[in-house]
Formats: sequence, C-alpha cells, structure tokens
Amino acid sequence: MTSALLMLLGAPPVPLVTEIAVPDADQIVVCSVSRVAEPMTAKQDAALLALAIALRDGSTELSRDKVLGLASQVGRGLETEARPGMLVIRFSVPRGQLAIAGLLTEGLVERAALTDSAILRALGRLVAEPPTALQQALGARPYDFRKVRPQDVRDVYDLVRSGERTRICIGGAFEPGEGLAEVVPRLHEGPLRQRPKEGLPWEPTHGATGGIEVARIQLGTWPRLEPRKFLALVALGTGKGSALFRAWRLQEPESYWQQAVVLPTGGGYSFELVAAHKAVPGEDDWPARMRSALLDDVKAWTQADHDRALAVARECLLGKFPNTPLLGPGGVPLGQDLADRCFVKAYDSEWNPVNVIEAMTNLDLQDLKAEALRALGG
Amino acid sequence: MTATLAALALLVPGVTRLELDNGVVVAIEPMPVEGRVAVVMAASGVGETPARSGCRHLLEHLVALGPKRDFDSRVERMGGYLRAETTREAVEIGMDGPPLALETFLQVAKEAAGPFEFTAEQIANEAKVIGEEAAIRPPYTVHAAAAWALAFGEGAPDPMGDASTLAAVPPPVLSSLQAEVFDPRSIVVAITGDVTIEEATNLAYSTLGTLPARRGAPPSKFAPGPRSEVLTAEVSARGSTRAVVVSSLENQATLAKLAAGFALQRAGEQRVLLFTESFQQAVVSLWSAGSDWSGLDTNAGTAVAPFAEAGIRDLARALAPDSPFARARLEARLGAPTGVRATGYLSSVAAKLSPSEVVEAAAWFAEPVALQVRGR
Repeated sequence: MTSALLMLLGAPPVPLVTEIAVPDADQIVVCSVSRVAEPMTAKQDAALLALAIALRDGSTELSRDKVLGLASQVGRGLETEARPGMLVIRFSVPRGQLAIAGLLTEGLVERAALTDSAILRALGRLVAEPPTALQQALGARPYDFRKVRPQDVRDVYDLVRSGERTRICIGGAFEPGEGLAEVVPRLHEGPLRQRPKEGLPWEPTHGATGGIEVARIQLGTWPRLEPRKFLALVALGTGKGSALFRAWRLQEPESYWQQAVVLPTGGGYSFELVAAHKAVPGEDDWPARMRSALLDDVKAWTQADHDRALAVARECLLGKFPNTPLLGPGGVPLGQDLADRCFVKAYDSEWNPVNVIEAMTNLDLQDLKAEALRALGG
Repeated sequence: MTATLAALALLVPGVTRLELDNGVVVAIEPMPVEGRVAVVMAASGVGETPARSGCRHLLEHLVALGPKRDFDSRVERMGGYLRAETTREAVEIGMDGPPLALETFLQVAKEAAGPFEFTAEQIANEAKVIGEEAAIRPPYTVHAAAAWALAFGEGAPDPMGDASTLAAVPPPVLSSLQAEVFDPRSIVVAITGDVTIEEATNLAYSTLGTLPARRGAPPSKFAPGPRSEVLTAEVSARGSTRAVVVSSLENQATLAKLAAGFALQRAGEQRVLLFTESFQQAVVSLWSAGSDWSGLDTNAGTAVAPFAEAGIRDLARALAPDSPFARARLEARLGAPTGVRATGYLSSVAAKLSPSEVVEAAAWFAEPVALQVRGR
C-alpha cells in the first residue's frame, strides 16, 4: 500500500486514484470520472457524446467483444456516458479478477482504440437517433454531428484524460491497498499513440428531432451540494407534491414528465428544472411561462410544502427516494450500492449527505421561499 | 384481535395471505430491510377491451391524484412516493417510504377504490396529459405493444389509449368503470418491508376492510385473444424488434428465453428487453435501435454464447427483487396466493439454467420463428 500511495503522491500527472476496499464483496467496480471545468465548445460537447459510444469498441489491445464480454460477467455491464464537460466510465468484474479490472481500466481510460470506423459508427448513431427526453435533460444539446470528425473525438479523449481531470475509484473485493497497486501503475499521461487513418467515407443519414422538446430552467452550477439550494430544488421540482407538478401538470396540463435534476457535470452540480412536452412549431416561450407559474406557486407555499420538501430531500440524500433529482451514470437515480459509491467518490471527494441533511433541518419556511425565489430570479 | 390472527393462513414461508370479508386479498411479507415499507394495490375488475380502449388508463391517472388531488402530498409529507400504472389486466397504485407511512399508504389505497366524482374538465385535462405521455413514449414500448398484438390479436389492446377520444369520455362512464375495476373481490394488496405481520394485519382490516362488499357476479378474469397468424408488423416508432411468446414464469423454457433475451441485450448496442405479461401468457420482446440482426439470424449460438452466463445472472437478479416496492409489486401483480414466486424461488431456478440452454433458446429470437416488428 505504501508504495502505491508513494506512486500516487509522487507522480502528479497520473490521474488521482482512490479505493473502497470491501474484501467480502462479490465483485470489483471501477469508476472513472473525467471533468473539464472550463467551458467546452458545442463541437467538443458533441465529440464527447461520440466518444462515450466509440469507447465501447475496445482498446488497442482488447477487441470490442473482449471488452464487453469481460465487463459483462457481473454487475450492470460497461457504462460509458458523456455529460457537459464530463465523461464517466464504469464497469464491474467478479471477485478474484483484480488484474482484469486493471487491464480494462488501462484499455478504456488510457488506450481506447478509437478507430475511424468506430467513431464514424458512433457519429452515425447520434445523427440518426433523436435524444430521448431524459437525454435532453441530461444535457445533450442540439448539434450537427456531421461537422464532427474522428480526430475531434480523439482530441477530446486526450483532453479529458490530461492533467488531473480524471479521478478513478476502484472498489470491492480486495484488501486495502491492492486496488491502488493494481490501477495506478497502469496509468500514464501523454498523447495517444498514432492511429492509422482508415479513410472511410463519411455519409451520415438524415437528422431526426423526435418531436419532443424539453423545457429547461437552469438554476446554476455549484462545486458542492449546498443544503439550502438542494432543499429549494426539491420543493420546486421533486415529487408530485412539488411546485413543478402542481403548476405544469395539475393547473396547466402541459406536460406528463417533469422533475428537478441535479446533474454532476464537469463544472459541478448542475441544478435544473425540466419538463418534456410535444414540440409545437413557433411556441418557444415555455421556460418563461414555466418560471412565471413557479414564482406564483412559491409565493403561496405553506408549512406543509416545507415539511414535504424536507421529508423528500432527506430520503433523496439517503438514496431511498425513487425519483431523486440526483442522477448517477445513465441518468439512473443515484443509489447506495458499491457502483454508485465509487462514482460519488470519484466525482466529489467531499460528499457528505449526513451533513447536508443536518443543515437542511435548520431551514424554515421563510428560508425556503427566499431561496426558491432567488433561484428562479424572482 | 386473537380471532383475526387465527384467521391468518400462512401459505408459504414468509408470505402471509389474508382474505378480508369484502373479498380484498392482502399479502404481507416482512423483509429484513430497515426503514422501508411498500404497499402495492392491483385492481383487476375489468381488463382492457377495444370498446373502452384507454379508459382504464385515464381512470388510473385521475384515481392516483385522489378525490381532493392530495394523495401525492400526503404520501410525500411522510417521505414516501406514489406510483401508478395501467397494465392490460390491472390498475396498480404503489407507494413506498418509511415504516411510519404505512397507515397513510393503506388509507390512500382504500380511498383510491372510490367512488370519486369526476368532472368533464378534469377528464379533458388529464386526457391532454395522456397525449403528452404518449408523445414521450419510448419506441420500444410501441414495438412491444405491436408484438403483443401479433401474439394475441387485438382482443387485449395496449392500454395507453388515444388522447382525443379519451377527452370526450362522460364522467358517469368513468365512475361506473371505477366501480368495476375496483370491485373489492378483484383487489390484491401486497404489504412488504420493515413491518410486522400483526401491525400490517391490523391496519389492513381497519382500512381496506371497511370497503363495502359487493353483491352479484364476481368480475370475470382477463383473457387475451387468439393468436394471430401474422408474424410481422410495421409501426411508426423507430427501431426493430424480435419477440417470442412464452407461458408462465414457472416454465423452464420461459426462463431460458428470458435469459437469452438478456444475453442478446448485452451482445448488441442499444437494445432493450421488455417482458409484457398477463396472468397466464407473456411476450418477451427485444428492441434494437438499429436493424442489424445478422449475427443472430446467421448463427444465434455464436452471437449469444459469450453473454449466456451474464444473461442468466441478469435474469436471476430481475426475478429476485431486493427492494420492498419491487417485491410488493410482483406479489400484487401475480396475485397473493402465488407470492412464493416472488421470494427468490424463481431466481434460484433461473440461476440453475445452463449456458447451453440459453444459447439454444436464443434461436427463438432469430428468423424465421420470431415475431418481428419493424419501424417504418
């Protein structure tokens, strides 16, 4: 363990690795979170989306079937996801396969194949398939993927893995120190090896819209989960007793799916209120109308709204509320299993839900209303 | 209380079944989970029919709000959450949350049985919401509905319904439907989680036990129509689907096909596996965003073999729900008398499948035997 830590501390360019040793677990989970705090261009965002798909085509040493097969032995399979300014890679292997975990980590984080053909297939999918409402809420913004070239995707791969942008957590069936010792030596910073140019034609299919729009009110992005802001967000948009449900489902039956979202992104926790609805040409004042209706609702909040928000926010932070705004990889509500614990540890080393709950209980109705009004700009 | 406890019938270890005087069946299963309890009510007095297509779905939307539109607030104030769903044979209302919320959950379940006074304005508004729901429906659910129609004809249609038609449903029709769907003799309520049998029994009697009993003929059981001769269909939703008809979950062949579906889901990108069930029959459908099934059609065994073991594990995990809500939902859906199926028996059977059985079953998803749905 000592040598692993020394390697970690003595080699700044190497991505920071942490571990959660659970010797009696039945599997080993690896979660890599790469965050780019500075703003990315729309093209880079688009390239990141393609990267998350193309990564699944294997590494310079492991074929696609090998990677998917090794990552399919236990757990949820290989997960690769792009969010604004962030790339998440997560997989599990059975206990006893620590070396395989290291091999896959190296292959996916350091040595992804990213051939022209794999990238073009990924871009083709993005062009042909409209984002779902959830994907739109997760930050996919409209972009003409036909403008993205394979080298753009490889450049973004180099960007997210450079410097100290990547944090890796390995958790599960090993003794303390063994996880670090397996992963750390496999990570090396530097430009990707030169890949052969395949010269494949780039012939995308037509774009698709899907006929659905997602109205989004972005409340802000913060490096830490602030208790006051989190409670206000839950009161505004989590659960069917929330202001959002009341305003946009009961009073104005404009939307079937609406909720608050706390999205871990490259720049921090992004707080949003989202509502999906059928696309109507020329009707683009949804967010403004939604904001106005929410402001009216907040002004009428009572103690019952405060109590509901506190109860729901507490359950969310304990990982027990099914419709929690906290979204892990794949847009799946963040829970408490080993895979999600690894994600949280790789994303936010200061995560402490108990402290957030304690601080929330000191907030009263007036605090809550003031924060919600401030968040909405009212 | 002694008499009440004496009336308990322990059909299977861990699951207690009560039949209340009004006909409501209650399944109680304490689980070793701390701080969580779940209640799911399945009301199956009327199944889906072409004549009233979507009306049960509309009813579910309005019932789940409550007569004073406060069900959600009452449940969430206790830290709980309410969900509702309409299947071809039942309207389901489910809640889960901290144990202290159990009484609220059962009271809400009782009130959901009605009667409500619906208004034309409420109906029109909720029909509009259903139109929004249909718009964001994932393509694979549209494909699964088409696969079901191929398997069992149009006698048991998809319960979604058409928003413009539903907007004109007269309030008395909906009230009458609520009385039929929520006939106590067709209600199963499952209570699971951090709860004692005695506490759950007492609360079940004091809430659900007060629903008025009905007279007359009991509700008839849902039955899908005859199987179609056609094996392919086209729908407007994108993607392509391979589907197979299966029988009940206890059947080993059903489990093998489900495991094969899970394995095929892992073998390809952007695939979604759906299990559309009724009490006796079901369709397993595998949707793909693309249309390339060549690996499956040329050699299903080769395509699925590397993922066969993962498919078995996925199936075992799917059949062994470890959350109180998932357990309650399965018990309410399958019917309390068969609650044993939700207690890990099926997952243990699934775990004993051999990879070769899964590889063999994968051939059912290949041409020419699979039901096929294609997006236009």
